[in-house]
Amino acid sequence: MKVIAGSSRHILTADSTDGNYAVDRLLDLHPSRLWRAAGNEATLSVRTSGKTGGLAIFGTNALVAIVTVTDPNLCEFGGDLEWAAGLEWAAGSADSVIKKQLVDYESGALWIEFTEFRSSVGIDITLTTAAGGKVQAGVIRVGEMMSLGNLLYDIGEGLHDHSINDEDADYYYKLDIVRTFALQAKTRTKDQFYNFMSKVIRANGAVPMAWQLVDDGSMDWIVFAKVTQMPQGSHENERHGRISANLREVL
Amino acid sequence: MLLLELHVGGEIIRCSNQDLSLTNPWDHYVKRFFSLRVGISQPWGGLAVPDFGEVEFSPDLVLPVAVPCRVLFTLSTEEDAQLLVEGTLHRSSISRKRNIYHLYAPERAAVTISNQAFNTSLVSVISWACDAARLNLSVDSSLARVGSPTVLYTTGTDIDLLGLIEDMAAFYHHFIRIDEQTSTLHLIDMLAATATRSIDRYDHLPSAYSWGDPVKRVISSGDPAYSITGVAYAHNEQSVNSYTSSQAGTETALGDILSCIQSGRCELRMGMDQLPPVLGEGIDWIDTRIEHPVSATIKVHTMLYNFDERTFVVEGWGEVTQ
Repeated sequence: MKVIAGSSRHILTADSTDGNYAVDRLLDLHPSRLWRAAGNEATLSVRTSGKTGGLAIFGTNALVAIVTVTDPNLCEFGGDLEWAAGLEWAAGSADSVIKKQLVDYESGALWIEFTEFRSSVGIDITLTTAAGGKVQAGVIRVGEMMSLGNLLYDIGEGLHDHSINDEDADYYYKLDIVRTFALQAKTRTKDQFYNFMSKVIRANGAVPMAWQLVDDGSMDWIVFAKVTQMPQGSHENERHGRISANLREVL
Repeated sequence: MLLLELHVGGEIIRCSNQDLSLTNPWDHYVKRFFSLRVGISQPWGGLAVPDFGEVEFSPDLVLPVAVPCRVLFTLSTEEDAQLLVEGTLHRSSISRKRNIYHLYAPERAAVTISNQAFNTSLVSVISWACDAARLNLSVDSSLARVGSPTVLYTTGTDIDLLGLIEDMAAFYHHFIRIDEQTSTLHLIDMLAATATRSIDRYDHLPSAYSWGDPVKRVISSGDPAYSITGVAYAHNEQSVNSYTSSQAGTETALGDILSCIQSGRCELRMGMDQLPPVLGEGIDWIDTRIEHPVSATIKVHTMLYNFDERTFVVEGWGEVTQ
């Protein structure tokens, strides 16, 4: 189980915006409050400051996502300047720093893991939707990626309905339906257990965060969710523990 | 869908009770919107007035004490949105979980007249009242009674003009709706029984039917006073101001008011998955949700918008039989 903890976002821009669907709407806690471009393709550019190990986007209608990482510390001198002997610029960048890229087009989620950067980087994400449409997204998160142990089976998954349902009147007015998860994970006590309990939950509480719910690698879910109650944990021995948490997607 | 426009410092904050992505984004800052009600002042006619409730906002939306606003409703796009009311939200309380505002309707500046004699049709009186020198409104009388009744009346001094024509319209079983957006006064005949919307059991929710207290008689003001007899076993009488000195004209108007008092009333609940009725609209249906079905044909005189439950409650008077 992984989470993007905190934020290393320093600057966020988009090369296209449709009217009042401004790019800073990607920074709130609501995937249903969208940024929208004027056309079917647009590039979001993130400049980070601080530890960056992952980036996630939720609520997008993109059918294609291309991610490029650059180091904005790189630049070129003009022709009449040169380094003294023994010094040179580092090589340009790299897509090789992307360790994993997951896309869930059905739920509109994109998840990217990087070799962790400690200095600032630039990340460009070019999103494309169907021709004639306007590409959009709801939330972007970038920051330190924290690994919290593998999920244990059974992994509970369900649905929560925000609709109006008047049983007596047989009246149903449909609103959004979101996913819920009931999870257990096996953790190492000295880092994963306390990373989860202290650095993630105690620091953020029920604030929605970007999660990759993953077992030993064969199944995973990418969700923007909050804990619905404070998680519980137990220490099975001096080295290992177990955490239990209930998550619900947010709108 | 509820669309609430807040005008703050020259900018528009668009919000709703859910996140909507229309031509503009409408953000979910409205946590509750307590019953917005627009109704006609008397069951037999008068002025359509709003009765505003309160709006509860999430505490992350910071607003000034007074906020001009517009409340709209749409089924699909913001371009097709229907303006329900316009007014000012005034802060009532702030707390950890919610900020509450009360909605106030704008008030028109009072226009008074003195010693004005009328001897013309109701439509002509309304048109005179709406002249640019007085109420300054356009008049739509397309739904007024064909063969507009005659007003034979002289006012006293310093009479509120809007109050006068409202009461006059009620006497003749009409109601007035003022559309501030288009500066138009609509005069609508409550007696025209033609239904304009037929609905079935899938268009409405369980509803309630009632009949008011019977009256012994309906009596007009003035000297001489005229009256129409109701039912002998009733205890109460209904008094109304008369706007004609003609006995025949008065008795016709009183008879229409008596019919209204004696008619059935409905509270018809409808889901917000359809366009709401408008005041004065006719609706007919057969309610088969009741063991012995009820057949109803009504004119809408009050609309209550329950945005929290996504329902309308339509109150109307008319023919209700079982």
